Amino acid sequence: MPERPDLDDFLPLPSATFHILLALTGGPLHGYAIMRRVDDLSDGAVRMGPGTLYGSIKRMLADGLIEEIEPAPDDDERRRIYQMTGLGETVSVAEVQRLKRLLSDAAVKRWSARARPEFGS
Amino acid sequence: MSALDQGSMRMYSLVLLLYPQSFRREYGDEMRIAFAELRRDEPRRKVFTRIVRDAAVSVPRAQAEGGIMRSTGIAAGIVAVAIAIGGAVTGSFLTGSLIVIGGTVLIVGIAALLSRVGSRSAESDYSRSRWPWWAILAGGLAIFEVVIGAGQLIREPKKENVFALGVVLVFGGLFTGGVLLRNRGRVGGNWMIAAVGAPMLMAPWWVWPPILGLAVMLGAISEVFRGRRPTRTTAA
Repeated sequence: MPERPDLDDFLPLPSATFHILLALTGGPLHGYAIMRRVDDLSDGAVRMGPGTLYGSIKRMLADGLIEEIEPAPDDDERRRIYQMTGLGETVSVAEVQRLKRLLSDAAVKRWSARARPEFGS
Repeated sequence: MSALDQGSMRMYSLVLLLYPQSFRREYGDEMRIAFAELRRDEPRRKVFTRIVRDAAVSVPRAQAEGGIMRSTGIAAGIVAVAIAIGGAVTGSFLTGSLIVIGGTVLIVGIAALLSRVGSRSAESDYSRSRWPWWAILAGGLAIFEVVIGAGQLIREPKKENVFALGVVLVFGGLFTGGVLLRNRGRVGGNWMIAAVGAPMLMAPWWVWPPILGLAVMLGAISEVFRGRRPTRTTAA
């Protein structure tokens, strides 16, 4: 049985990897559709180009986070379609948890920083 | 496809040549399709900035992972050729080599920094830049000054040049301190960076350094007046 990869080896996920996984949450997509989906999901904060996209796809395929699937008969055959693997889903959930913790820590720190002068006065 | 589209596709094909051959073979066709669709869906100016930023980040990374930079022999060869050209052009192997080595180290350093951009975690895309354009420009200016100062001292080892290099190093220290303070959310850091740019304005005969110095000062000061607090470093 293959050894289960350690999640900590993947986290924190590079921004491009995380956004590609988020884009693939809704189902399999081809490269350009991933780019557009990332633009929408991030409200334009992440504007990925083809080099970053396919560089990330190459690494994600090697890591087993995504896989290539056969295109549907009516799809453009020059395009390759990618979907998230089980490992990809687990890793993206873990990254979301990490970001949530980060936000929560930041909120607590901000609150305590604001509260400090009141306690001191 | 219009002549304009064909022209832009030819330009993009030239950009693709910057990627390693194996990467182009694997993904080149799909990247061309994605580019054509971007051209269809977005204004030309937006596509241009997207592609330039993308290439600046992804080419060094792709080369580092599977291209020429992976081969130590070729990288060493490039540096050796750069030294030889520098020496031949300037007629002095010492000065010429120093300039070319400095330039090569600067370019490789910038490429390494850019290649790291692609591996930043997601939170960095939603927070303000820790390295705005003007801070990167200021860093480049500081390195330029140190390389010139060191070259001058090696060429003419006299007291005045030791003093000049010392002054340059003090300014470099002030700049570094300014960046550290700014990244901790202290506005004083912006003022320190702006102060370091000021002496550059006193040497208008250099043309470019004063212009870049002015740009750094404006960038640092405008951040203060826009009411944006510099980015605070957050511990995870």
